[in-house]
Amino acid sequence: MNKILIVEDEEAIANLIRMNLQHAGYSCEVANDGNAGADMMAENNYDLCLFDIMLPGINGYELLEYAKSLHMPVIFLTAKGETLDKVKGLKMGADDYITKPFEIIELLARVENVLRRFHKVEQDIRIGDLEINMVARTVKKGGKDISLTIKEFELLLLFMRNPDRALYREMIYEQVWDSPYMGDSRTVDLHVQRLRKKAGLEQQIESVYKVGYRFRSSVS
Amino acid sequence: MKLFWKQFTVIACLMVTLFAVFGSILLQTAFQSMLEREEERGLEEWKMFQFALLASMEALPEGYTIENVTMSEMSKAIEESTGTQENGIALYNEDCQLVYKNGMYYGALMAENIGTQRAMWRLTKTEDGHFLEALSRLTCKNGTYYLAFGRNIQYVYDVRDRLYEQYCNMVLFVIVLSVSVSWLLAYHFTKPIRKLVKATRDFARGNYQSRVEVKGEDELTDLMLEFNRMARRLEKSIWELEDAARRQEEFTGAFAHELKTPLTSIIGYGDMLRSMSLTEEEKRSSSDYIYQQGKRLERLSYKMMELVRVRTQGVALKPLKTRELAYEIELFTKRLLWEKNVILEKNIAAGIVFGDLDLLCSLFGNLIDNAAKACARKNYTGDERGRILFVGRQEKKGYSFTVMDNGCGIPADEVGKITEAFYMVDKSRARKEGGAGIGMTLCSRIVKLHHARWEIASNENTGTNVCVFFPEEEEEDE
Repeated sequence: MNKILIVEDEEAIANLIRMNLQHAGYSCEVANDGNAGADMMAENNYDLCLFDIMLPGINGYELLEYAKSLHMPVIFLTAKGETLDKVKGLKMGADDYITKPFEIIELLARVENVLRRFHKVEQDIRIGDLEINMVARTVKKGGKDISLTIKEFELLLLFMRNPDRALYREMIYEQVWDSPYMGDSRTVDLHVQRLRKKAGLEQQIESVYKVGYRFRSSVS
Repeated sequence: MKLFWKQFTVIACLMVTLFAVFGSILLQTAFQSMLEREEERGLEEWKMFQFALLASMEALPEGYTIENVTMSEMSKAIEESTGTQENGIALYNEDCQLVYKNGMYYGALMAENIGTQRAMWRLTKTEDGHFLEALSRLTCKNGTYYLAFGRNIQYVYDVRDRLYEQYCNMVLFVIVLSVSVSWLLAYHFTKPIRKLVKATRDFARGNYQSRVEVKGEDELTDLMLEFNRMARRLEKSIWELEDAARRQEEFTGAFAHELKTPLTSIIGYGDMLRSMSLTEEEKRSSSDYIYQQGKRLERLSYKMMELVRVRTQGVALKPLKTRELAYEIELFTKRLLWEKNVILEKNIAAGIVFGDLDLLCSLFGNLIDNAAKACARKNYTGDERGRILFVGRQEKKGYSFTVMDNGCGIPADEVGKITEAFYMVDKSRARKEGGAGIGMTLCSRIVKLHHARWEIASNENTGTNVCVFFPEEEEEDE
């Protein structure tokens, strides 16, 4: 289980991130100001740090330098959306940058992405008899290989990373196709149908009325 | 045509023309007077000669005619006595036959005026030069004679021609001189204009520090002084505009930040609620967060509305009795003080301030609110309690209100920043107390609208003093 440190002075946001990350299977700790964050970094080893930039006490940039000296990957999480701020953060060595307000699944995807880059995430995701190998990009069901197109693979990955979460069509579209959703739900539906058929997931990927789809981790 | 060339041409032409006209007049006058003098002298000599001839003819014995006497001897004698070398004479008898002529006579007057009764003279021009010619009839006891007289006055014309030649050279010289002088003058006169043009061009190109170096005391100097004044004024207002734009940008940035933070929570928790199956406890806390952050947005928008109202609306300043104002403020803050368990002591001197009741309530309400929060943050020992002193004093040139508290104070290096929008000394704490971070910005706007001044003095741990001074109407400056 990956350990993540969240340094955020807004209690509401800190809790929001913590609850979601915990839900996604991470272990989280929260610090409310820079000093506490630095202390916690000194005492524990974290797989990933999420920093707000404007913090009471030590600010996010200073925390970043400290985290770099401890070889911890860092994602900045801030309302400062200016390109210059982003460039500054990234140049100083931040591994990613999320601007507020953000979507939860975007946060999860970025967290996982950074963890994967640092080889801190499991190579395989396994739910039931379904198994994804991230490195080889292969999918097996009950030990049998299933061949999928790139988009179908991405779609399945998204479902398996967010089990038991209702995924909205626009979210799916934005995550998998990486472009703004223009109201055309046919693309998503079509790909989901094909995925269901190819991988035999008619039971597990269920439609949610007026929303989209949900991937159930266990079929009753 | 450029002013330089206009000035140059006018000066040069004027100088040359004036010199030419006056020079010609002078030359002409000099020539005329010389000629007149020469005429006079010639005529004088002619008269003398006439007189001398008459006298010597009268002295001849009876029966002698002038032919009998050697005329040359007589005239030589006369010439010697009168001393005229330039003159030529001729003597004719009654029948117009030449009796005597000396070598220098060239005249033709006799031939044209045979038998004239009266004396006459004229100026003639021959191939040999200019002459003064005179003719007179002499009658004496020995008969009647005609005396012709000629005088060479060519030298007068020679002098004139020489002078004229010199004058022409002079005119050439004057032309050269006046061209260079007028060029220099025009250059000198248009120099300030060129400087102004350069400065204006620089200014137009965005160099707002561009100024003209001022010299002299003429109208152009005035213009340059005015230009400099205008440039200073413009530079100041441009600077102010830039500053305002920068502050506006900062404000927008800070505002966006203030907006994004609660939005992040609302969107995040909303998303969780709609897409995840949560436990009852999680659902409750999520909706609680949404509610809290929504409230925060609401507070922010109210404060923003108020700020916008203060910014855009002019206020009518009406005379307000200070005691009534203080009473209103007390009503306004009563509940808050009770909640925070803080005592408010009033000491208001009777007086009048000019202001808007609502805005002043908002100003002092905010100040007292801040004071109460500062008190609530401090842990008092023993019997001590949070106290706020609200004092009104009639001053020499106005009226001052002071809000004093014995709360936690403001750190020295933060006092200057507290009127900046969204600045909070203790952010997370201020949030919990419901602060949006624009109370003091609002206050400072209200103070400015009332043409008032304020001073904030604070000591960490001993408390904060805010003094607002309302000057009397007449000493207001814009």
